[in-house]
Amino acid sequence: MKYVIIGNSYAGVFAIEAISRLDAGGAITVISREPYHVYARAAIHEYMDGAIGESRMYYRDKDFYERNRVTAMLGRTVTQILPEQHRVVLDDGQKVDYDRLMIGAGGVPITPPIEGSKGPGMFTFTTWDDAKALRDWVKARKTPKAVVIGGGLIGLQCAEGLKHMGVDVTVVELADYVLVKALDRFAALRVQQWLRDNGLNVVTGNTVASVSRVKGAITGVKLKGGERLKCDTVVLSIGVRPNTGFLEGSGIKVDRGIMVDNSMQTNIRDVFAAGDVTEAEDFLRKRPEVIPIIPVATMQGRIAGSTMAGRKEVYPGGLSQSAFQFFGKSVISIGNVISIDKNGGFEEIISEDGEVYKKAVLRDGMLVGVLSMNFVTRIGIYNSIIRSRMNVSGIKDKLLADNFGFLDLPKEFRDEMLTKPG
Amino acid sequence: MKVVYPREQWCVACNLCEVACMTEHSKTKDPLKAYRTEKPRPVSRTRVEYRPPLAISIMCRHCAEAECVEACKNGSLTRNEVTGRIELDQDKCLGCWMCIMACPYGAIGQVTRPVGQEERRVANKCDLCPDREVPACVSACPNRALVFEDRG
Amino acid sequence: MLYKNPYNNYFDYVVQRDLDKCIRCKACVAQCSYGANFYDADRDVIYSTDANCVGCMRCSTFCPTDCIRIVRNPDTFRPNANWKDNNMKDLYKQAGTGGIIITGMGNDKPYTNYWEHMVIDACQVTNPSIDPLREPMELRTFLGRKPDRIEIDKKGDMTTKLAPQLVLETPIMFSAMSYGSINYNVCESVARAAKELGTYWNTGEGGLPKTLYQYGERTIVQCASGRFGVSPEYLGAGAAIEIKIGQGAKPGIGGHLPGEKVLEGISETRMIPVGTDAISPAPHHDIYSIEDLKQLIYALKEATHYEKPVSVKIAAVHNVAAIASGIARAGADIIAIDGFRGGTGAAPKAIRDNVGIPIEVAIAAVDERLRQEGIRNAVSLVAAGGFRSSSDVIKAIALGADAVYIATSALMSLGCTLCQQCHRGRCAWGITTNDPELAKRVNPEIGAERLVNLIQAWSNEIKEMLGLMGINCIESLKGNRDRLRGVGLSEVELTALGIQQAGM
Ligand SMILES: Cc1cc2nc3c(=O)[nH]c(=O)nc-3n(C[C@H](O)[C@H](O)[C@H](O)COP(=O)(O)OP(=O)(O)OC[C@H]3O[C@@H](n4cnc5c(N)ncnc54)[C@H](O)[C@@H]3O)c2cc1C
Ligand code: SF4
Ligand code: SF4
Ligand code: SF4
Ligand code: SF4
Ligand code: SF4
Repeated sequence: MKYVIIGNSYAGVFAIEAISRLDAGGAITVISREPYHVYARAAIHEYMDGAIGESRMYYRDKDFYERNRVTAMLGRTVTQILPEQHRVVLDDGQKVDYDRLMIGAGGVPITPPIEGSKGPGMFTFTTWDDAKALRDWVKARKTPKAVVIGGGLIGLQCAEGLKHMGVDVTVVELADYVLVKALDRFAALRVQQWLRDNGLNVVTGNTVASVSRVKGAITGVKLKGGERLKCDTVVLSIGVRPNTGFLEGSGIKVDRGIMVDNSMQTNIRDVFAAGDVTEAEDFLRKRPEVIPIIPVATMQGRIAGSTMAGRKEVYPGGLSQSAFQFFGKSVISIGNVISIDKNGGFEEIISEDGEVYKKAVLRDGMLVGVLSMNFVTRIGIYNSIIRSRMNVSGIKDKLLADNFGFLDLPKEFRDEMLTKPG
Repeated sequence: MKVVYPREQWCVACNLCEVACMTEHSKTKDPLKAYRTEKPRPVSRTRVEYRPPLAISIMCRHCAEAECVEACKNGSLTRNEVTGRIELDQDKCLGCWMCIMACPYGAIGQVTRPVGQEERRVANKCDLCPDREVPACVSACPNRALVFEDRG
Repeated sequence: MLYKNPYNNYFDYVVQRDLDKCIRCKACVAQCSYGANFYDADRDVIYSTDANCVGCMRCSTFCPTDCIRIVRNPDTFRPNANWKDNNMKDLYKQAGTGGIIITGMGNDKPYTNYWEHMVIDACQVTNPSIDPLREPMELRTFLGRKPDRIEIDKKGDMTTKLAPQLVLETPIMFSAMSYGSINYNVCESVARAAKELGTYWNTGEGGLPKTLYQYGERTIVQCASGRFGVSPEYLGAGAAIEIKIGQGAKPGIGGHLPGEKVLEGISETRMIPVGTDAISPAPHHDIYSIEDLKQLIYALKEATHYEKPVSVKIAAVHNVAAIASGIARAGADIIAIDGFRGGTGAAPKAIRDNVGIPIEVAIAAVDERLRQEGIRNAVSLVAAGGFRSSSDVIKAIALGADAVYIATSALMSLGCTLCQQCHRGRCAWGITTNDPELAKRVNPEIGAERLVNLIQAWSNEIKEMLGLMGINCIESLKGNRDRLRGVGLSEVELTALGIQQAGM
């Protein structure tokens, strides 16, 4: 069996490992546009500011491909998929045949046409190369000043990295507060405070209308409201979207992302997809969504890989979640942390103690989201509670206690979890 | 694969599993020095929950499809394909707590680890005591509330 | 401690903790069921309230750095040969409470221990000893009425119909301890061990939990004055029935299981409501004479189709020999005699320490009397009350017992340190408590293993000792007082024991 994987990242690796485990005789080819051995995309900001060196950037050991009998075609871009012929076409015209194909092409940064955005000093921030380029750029300047457009996770992480490098940074966020997808207003305002306390400027409810240049070099940005901010560097980080451009004409069905069934198969036989490029069942919303996070990419990759290698697995639905830190303070957000509709059976439990802020969101008695600032101990247990869809109304008072644990949960649940192989 | 299973029914909340785990993962392998003089202090990888009359010691299940591995940002957590154990490379760990967020058992903790001159906060989880035939916590448990078993 | 009553605050132990060695693991805190140890988070230190300590040593054995010493409180009253420490403390306590002092376990007073004044004979030159590792050594013991004579047919098969017998692979059984006074896990440990060892355990007066019926063929079911848990099913479940008349630790008084100890399983088994006190009256209200006893014995035999031996258990008291004779004549198959060092879950201290007689002399007296009356074969004699070792057991058999019952030693193999707090229901070793947090401290898997180890060790020692006496069968030692000699005893004592002075 010939397996071809497009994308050498989180989704791809898990697909490769699943296939290699199940089909020892299979031939796997991985094709990636980026020229690197598989690396940790989500750590590029830490690489940029020098917090971690190159060795900690590699997602798998040097012998990863060899061990899993993978032919790695790195620095090669797939331009076309020909499902009829079971074949993909690369940028140089080379064709690679497959019996089963998985598309794990990830996301691409959204780059709206902002006036003045073309030219030097303008960056996106989703690849190792992006991080290296930005690092080299700011290092070449004596007093670099940067504007980061977008106060999402990637934007803020980039901004923090820049700050650590001594760059004067302003983040401009269109929404009322940063990290709208992961936080509630209270938590977001706290994060903004941390950022400001550490010398970052944060502008919210505003956006960059145009980038000003003098002789090609960036001199500043003009905000929607007319204000001007001086800078020589602009990072555009308003989000990523599934990287589906090259699928045009392939017949593979794309909505916002590639549409997949519950074993990650697309509408086309033998073609699977996983990771940021897909749009798959959302566990809580119960409808297809793009959830561009690592645990979703890897799980989808694993399910796609297993199914491709003959052991059909079923995707339980993705649960959005993220863990991140700014200047040593941590935030973890799982599921739905905002009561979307006060009348929709939502209920919030909040616990606040100094630096620690915890919030649980219940819907019809079931836990649907947890937000926790500066408290990480055993947070994952909430993940299993959300997944279990158990009714937690009876233990509301214990739910956010610092020592919350399995002994607060029903015995049957505990036994199910702890007396069987994980 | 053999992993450690808690038997809640017999756990007497003595915390000796934690002491044993801390000691096993110390430099000196001596509980007193591990606690008193080693800097940073080693931290147990199992955790005793105590809600009288109930108690239970919980550590990593070494999951077949480990969610910590799926969540780890930079591959510090991997599955050892030979032993099936879920291994954590603490020198590589970024301290991003993605694994703590993902582990459905709450089995990953944190520890301070010296790396050269600096000290890093990194993830900390059960490694099934690779230097021992029977894991330290299992040997230390006075009431067989922890067993090292293959339950398939 | 603040708010103490100074007249009452003489306590026995001090918990010494070497704080330099303490690693704040809090093992001692969770293990102390008397609230003596606690963690002060503000100062990150473990402390103890010494007055609460009962000296059970649960904490010091759990401490991973061995930094705890439980020591006798060095506070000393002015020494006084008449007024000993405990006399004084008991008095102060009573002056404060006005109550009877209740305690647990057996008589701890320094009465003469006759086991320690008897020595065993050995073979030298003229009669060879036997090596138990090379030659068969028989410990199997049959308890029950033996016929006066047996008849054999032409083929050599016995035609006499034997009365029902208990068959023990070793002459040691587990004595009566009721479910309720000890918890389920302890019952299960003992039951499992009895089954594995091929001996018997005794339900005591608390009935038999349904889930332990599987050990029925290794169970002696007791029928006491409270009749707790007694039903046709219960009587049918055991291998033998024991009528409990008295107990060595508290002869002449009944039993009292406080309502707090009567939890669900216990209430179901005892057939009384949850939370009610389980009181066994002092006498059986239907037994005021040997004739009455006979009626009950035969009622029980009738109820179980004469298939099970019936035992009668009494405390060793002054005229034990005459009483035993009466019991034998009343039709009992086994007489169990409990000496004054026998344990209890709760007894008034005054009674525990001053009523009854030592089992050593009781066995000698009863065996002697039954022999004289020619009815020794009509009953088996089981001795109980403070057996500490295989040598105590073998001496008891040489004095005339068929087998022994152990209870305190059995509990010790499960952890008991004789702190004598059984009556409080807070046993830190998880034995005489039904508190679910404490009861789980006895894991029957481990408990049964340890009991089996203990009895096997004793049995092996007994075989060794039989061998050195040149005896290859425990049966041959029974009542063989010639193999014992007394050391340091008066002539009257030697006579009471029916043994000769060493050197004679
Ligand atoms: C700075 C940053 C921080 C992040 N932090 C977090 C975080 O803390 N937590 C979290 O859960 N997620 C985080 N993410 C998101 C996370 O990185 C993505 O969810 C994850 O990378 C998705 O993995 P993937 O395998 O689907 O695709 P990607 O990682 O996007 O990889 C796509 C792969 O496809 C290849 N490719 C694309 N197009 C082609 C083509 N046409 N031909 C050949 N190869 C192609 C690429 O070279 C690449 O190898 C972060 C992302 C960034 C950029
Ligand atoms: S850390 Fe948690 S998720 Fe990872 S293998 Fe262990 S139990 Fe499973
Ligand atoms: S197996 Fe070893 S590492 Fe794991 S919890 Fe037990 S003692 Fe700690
Ligand atoms: S050592 Fe055993 S009994 Fe003690 S806390 Fe740990 S699991 Fe429980
Ligand atoms: S556990 Fe026992 S010995 Fe230790 S302090 Fe408590 S009562 Fe005293
Ligand atoms: S058990 Fe020992 S080491 Fe642990 S807290 Fe108590 S005294 Fe300290």
